[in-house]
Amino acid sequence: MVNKEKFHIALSQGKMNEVKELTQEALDNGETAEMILKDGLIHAMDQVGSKFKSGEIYIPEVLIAARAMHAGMAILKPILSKSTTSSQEKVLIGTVKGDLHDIGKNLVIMMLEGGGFEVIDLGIDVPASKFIEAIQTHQPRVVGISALLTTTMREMKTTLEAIEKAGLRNQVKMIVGGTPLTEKFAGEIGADGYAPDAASAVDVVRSLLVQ
Amino acid sequence: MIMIGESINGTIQKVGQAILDRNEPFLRELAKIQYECGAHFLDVNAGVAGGNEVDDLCWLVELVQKEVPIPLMIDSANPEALKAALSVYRHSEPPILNSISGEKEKWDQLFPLVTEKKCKTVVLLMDDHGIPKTIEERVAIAKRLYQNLVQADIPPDYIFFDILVLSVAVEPDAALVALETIKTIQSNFLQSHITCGVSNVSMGLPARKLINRTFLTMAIAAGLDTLLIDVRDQALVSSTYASRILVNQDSYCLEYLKAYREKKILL
Repeated sequence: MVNKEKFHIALSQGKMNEVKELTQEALDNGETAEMILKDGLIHAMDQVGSKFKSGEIYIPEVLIAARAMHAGMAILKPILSKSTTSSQEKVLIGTVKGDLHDIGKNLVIMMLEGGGFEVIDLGIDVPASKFIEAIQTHQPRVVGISALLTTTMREMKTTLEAIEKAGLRNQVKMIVGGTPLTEKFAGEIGADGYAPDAASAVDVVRSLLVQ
Repeated sequence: MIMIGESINGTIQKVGQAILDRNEPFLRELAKIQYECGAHFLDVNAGVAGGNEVDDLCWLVELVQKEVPIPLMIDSANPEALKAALSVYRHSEPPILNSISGEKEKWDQLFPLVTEKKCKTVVLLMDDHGIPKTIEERVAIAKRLYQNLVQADIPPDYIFFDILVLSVAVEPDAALVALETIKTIQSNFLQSHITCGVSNVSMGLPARKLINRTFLTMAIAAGLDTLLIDVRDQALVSSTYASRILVNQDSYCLEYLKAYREKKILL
């Protein structure tokens, strides 16, 4: 059994070395990498995420937790990548063209990685053509687009339309987020999902992948 | 020190709704109170989802300039909206356009407008490659844009360099980088102004006002002279008065004393 509580305490306090040790210890005790990832790291990170969502903890505290999670992941990754059954789901993410905001997007990335996803970050000011190219190259199941300005919200629609035109719309689930957005707007432009904050983004992606 | 009231901004939900509803009393009151709090300019931004920014901004400029006797900062990411709003602007002093940058498309649309109307303008230190990582690259962009503007007869003190500030919650050295950039830009362009979006610095942390005004104090010491802030925030404004006397920018502390007598200083 993976000791969920120990992982949670070490991870939420950002103790990288302790998380590494716990991970190694669990492996030595015969736990599978998949179980350690799921019950140790992801479970703990989910709790961090929900505390962040409820306003109990703040960004820097999420950052140190994510850093500790990465330390554990570094040990598991070489083992996980050998087994084909557990290949991580990919999420592609970027801020739309004309928009330079990345704080929210980076938080979403952190939470998604914490949720066990492999995230490909296209950065900020990303034109539709670059999203299309990246979908073709990386074949993600989910694409997240971010905008923080009312003026660049429109670019989201353009991006969605371009992906549709390129014939790629059916192979990906599209999620959108950013301060000025609403669920209604997300629906109007034809997105599959909307999350009001970084922690909920993980739930949205998970539920879309179940569908 | 130039104080600009930031509150008439459509991206603030209540204000955005008032713009969509054409709620004149609400917006007039917002303009008036900022003027009474000592703003030298008022920022007007009509960017709200579900609106028509060109029409909304023109309407807003006309409304606000009827209400207060101070010039405006006309704020939009949409060049068409800026152009239309400038054509209805009436104040005898030039407005500050917010903003132009080194991005070619934006520059090509807005540079002729700035020179034709002889506006003051905010200059973002970025180009088609995005926001440069190093301070040297930012200075290089500043130099290039400055030369173009000054050669077109825009006076150096019409130029407001905008220093990008990131959140310290995400980038631990964000404030230090901003302060260093302010110092460098200030020493290179002594006659121009420096502004920045102060509140970014505290994004994601609790009790943001405290962090904002502490950072503002440091930024003023580094050379920030144009404050785009909530001028209704008395604690923040009081800090700026105090900061200015400490860095010898308020000759004989006269402005501080005046503010004190007018009961604008909050301990």
